[in-house]
Amino acid sequence: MALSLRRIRAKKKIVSCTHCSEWMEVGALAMSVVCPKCRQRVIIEDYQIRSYHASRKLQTCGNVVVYKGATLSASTKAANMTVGGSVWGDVEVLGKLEVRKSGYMRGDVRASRLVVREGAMLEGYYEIGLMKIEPPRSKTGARVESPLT
Amino acid sequence: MTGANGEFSTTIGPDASFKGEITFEKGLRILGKFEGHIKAKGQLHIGEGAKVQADVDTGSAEIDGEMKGNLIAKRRIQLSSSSRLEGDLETARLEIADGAVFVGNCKVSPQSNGKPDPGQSGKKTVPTVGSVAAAKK
Repeated sequence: MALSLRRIRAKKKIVSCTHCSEWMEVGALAMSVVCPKCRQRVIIEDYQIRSYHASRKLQTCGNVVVYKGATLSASTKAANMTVGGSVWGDVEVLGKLEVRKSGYMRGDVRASRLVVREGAMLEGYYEIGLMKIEPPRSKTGARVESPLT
Repeated sequence: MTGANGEFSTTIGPDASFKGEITFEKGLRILGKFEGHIKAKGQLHIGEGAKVQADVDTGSAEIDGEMKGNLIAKRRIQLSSSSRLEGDLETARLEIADGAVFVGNCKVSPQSNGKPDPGQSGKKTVPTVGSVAAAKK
């Protein structure tokens, strides 16, 4: 038990601060951290929207999934995002944004990679593939997982 | 025309360069360079390595190469992983593969079939917190 806990603690991942874009190494199970550069609280956990979620901003270093039938109404920033429901608001994704055939997006979108399945409905200004983002290697030599798929 | 083997009746070859306006009925494949306007009801294919700088109004489009300009397709647009599109896009159905580069305004809805929007009757409205709370009551 103690050994497995130690293994879990040793796992790290690299995330980019949602406020200043600084890369930092955090524990794999951390939910939020304080950015060492800008001293702002950074949320790391994943979000799963299954019904209705409305807020001014939704910013996370983790992944966001909007399930079919669900609605997200917010300006969103995430590492990766999958949209099966409706998304209202601007979206910025460092990694991959996938819009499924049941997905509906209205707002401006910036992403490194975009996959759109036939049947999805989109409206807005799109900037895809212009961001060149590569997470740096771990300084401590620990095994780190990339946040970007 | 796209036959059973997927061939197009009109092809602009990889060593060809075309400037001007072109119209076609069934199918056009561009493998070289094109500059101007394209207006058609059929299918347009921009092959890998092709460079197109044009405003396009067509039935459906499949893009593997580079394109600059506005693209309207009544039925369907497909962007492959090697494609690069800089310009506005309007279609009824859109498919984008991982790796495609796209910069511009995007409008994908079944109403974007070249016909005028019938009073925006089928348009979704933004659900507000108040409306959801009222619905729960």
